[in-house]
Amino acid sequence: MSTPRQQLALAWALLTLLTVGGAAASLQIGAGDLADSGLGPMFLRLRAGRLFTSFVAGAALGTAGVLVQGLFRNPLASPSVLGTTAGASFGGTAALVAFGSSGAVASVVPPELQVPVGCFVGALVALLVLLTVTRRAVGSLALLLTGFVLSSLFLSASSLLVSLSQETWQLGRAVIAFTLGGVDGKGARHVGLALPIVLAGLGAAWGWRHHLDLLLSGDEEATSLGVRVPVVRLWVIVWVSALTAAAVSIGGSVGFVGLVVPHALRPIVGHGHAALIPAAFVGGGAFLVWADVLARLAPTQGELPLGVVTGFIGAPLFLGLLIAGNRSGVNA
Amino acid sequence: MIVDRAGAGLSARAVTVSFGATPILHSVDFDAPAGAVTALIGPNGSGKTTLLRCLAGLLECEGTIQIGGEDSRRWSRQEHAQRVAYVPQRTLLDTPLPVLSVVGQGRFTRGRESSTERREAVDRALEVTGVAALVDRAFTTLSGGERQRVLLARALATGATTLLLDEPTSAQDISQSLLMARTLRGLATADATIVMVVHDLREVRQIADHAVLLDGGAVSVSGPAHRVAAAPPVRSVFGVELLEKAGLDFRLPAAEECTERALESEQ
Repeated sequence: MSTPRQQLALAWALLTLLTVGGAAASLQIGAGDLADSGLGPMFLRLRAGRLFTSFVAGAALGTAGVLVQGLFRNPLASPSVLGTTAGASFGGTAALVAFGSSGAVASVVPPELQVPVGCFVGALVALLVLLTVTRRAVGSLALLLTGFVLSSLFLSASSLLVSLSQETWQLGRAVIAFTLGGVDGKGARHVGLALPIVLAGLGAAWGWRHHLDLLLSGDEEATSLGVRVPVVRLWVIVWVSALTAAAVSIGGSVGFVGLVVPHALRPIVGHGHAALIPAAFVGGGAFLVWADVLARLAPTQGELPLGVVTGFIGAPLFLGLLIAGNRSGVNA
Repeated sequence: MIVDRAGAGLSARAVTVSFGATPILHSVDFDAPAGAVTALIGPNGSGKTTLLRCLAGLLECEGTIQIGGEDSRRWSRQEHAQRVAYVPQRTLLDTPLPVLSVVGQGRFTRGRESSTERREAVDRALEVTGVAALVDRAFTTLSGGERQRVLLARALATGATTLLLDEPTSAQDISQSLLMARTLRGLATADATIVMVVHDLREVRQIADHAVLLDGGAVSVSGPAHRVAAAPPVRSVFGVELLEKAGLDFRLPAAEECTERALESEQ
């Protein structure tokens, strides 16, 4: 039987292997031929853009997953429970529709940043509503219910926009592609927009690693041990929102990463947040890099949407972990 | 470890708590001296846990609470955690964290100390509570009694000199219960101020120096533990009779015993 230290070392060896292997596969696999002396460098640049974008988006979702699961003391919580993911998704869709139909509005923001900016605005609106409604609430139940209602509201609003956008073929296609998720055509400017937020979110999560460990004992015990629970809760919500907004802004609506990655890592790296946060950052990144590789490998005309791939991998993986956890009697 | 004589002890005056329009505690007064164990006793719903949570700063209340001669409600959350430790009857911790990590959480507010200082404080707490052999075990694999001892270790690791314990022996078997009693007596000898909720009146005499009997959210009687446990108010509050020749033991009043006999004969 291995010690926790050996298990941690093994986990990091696996994560490194997955990340390096994923990066190599992501650069090698694709429609174009890298050996082509004329187009090869361009293919490589495009694939590098996809590689970094998918890694950053996955890392953001993995980190947000750890934060939100720690906040709710529930390993089955997903970053989307706060409603800010749906808010970001609605914001991005609204930006596509607004900028797509109005040239005057489009001139204010560079074209490639219109959707990301829309995502951040949408997430911010959802966050403000969430904080306003729950500002006097004690405990996490009000937060959970408000998040659920916000998610439903923004998903309905997004569906309305999807429906309206079908009147224009090109716009409808762009909106559908965004809602299904993907990193095709993303590059340095997108990564440049999201990366500072994601790194700051990682730093914030790391700063709260001990607070989150104490919150596992519940609000009252954490308070008695010196945690200012309302302050921690507020900032965790803010950073989960920022991280998910950053992920949606560059990768679209991609599910399961924030739910599955921390859940899968706990049995290997342990439940302490000092080990879990960096592992989920790298694990989330590697997960989405591989999902993007699989999206390109699928025997279909064109590529599979990234959100579809993460769903196909994430849902069975999650169910498998759940069954394994139930069999061993461990709340994995 | 513990020893903090400055303005020793805990003093509560006119502590009043209401949940909405429902009064829970009415003007509770009591003193818990340092170097002694003070037991809070009373029937279910008498306000013992509510009082303990007030003292721990976890519940808003009226009145004054002085700990070590200072108004504890003026302290920051961090200072409070360094001076007062609270152990609930049941923890919500249901995660397989290693015992060493759980006990180490007691040092949360001592962020700037060296790892040696931290390790020494944690080791002392593990040793005092007798759970040093469990350090590598996952918390969720422990028995109820072991969990209570680990939580006591976490409380001691805070370095707090005032310990508020909610039924610390409720999940213990007889030997663990006696071990816990010995641990708490040892801590009291080291000058800790210990306030604990106790259900078993025999334990009150075994562990506590002083006792406060709560009834309907008010203090019914307080004083030396052996006297309070045998005092007439205990009998009336709990609705039991003292068996004079059996040490501190109780029975149901004669009328209710008749009912019991009738039920038995029917079966």
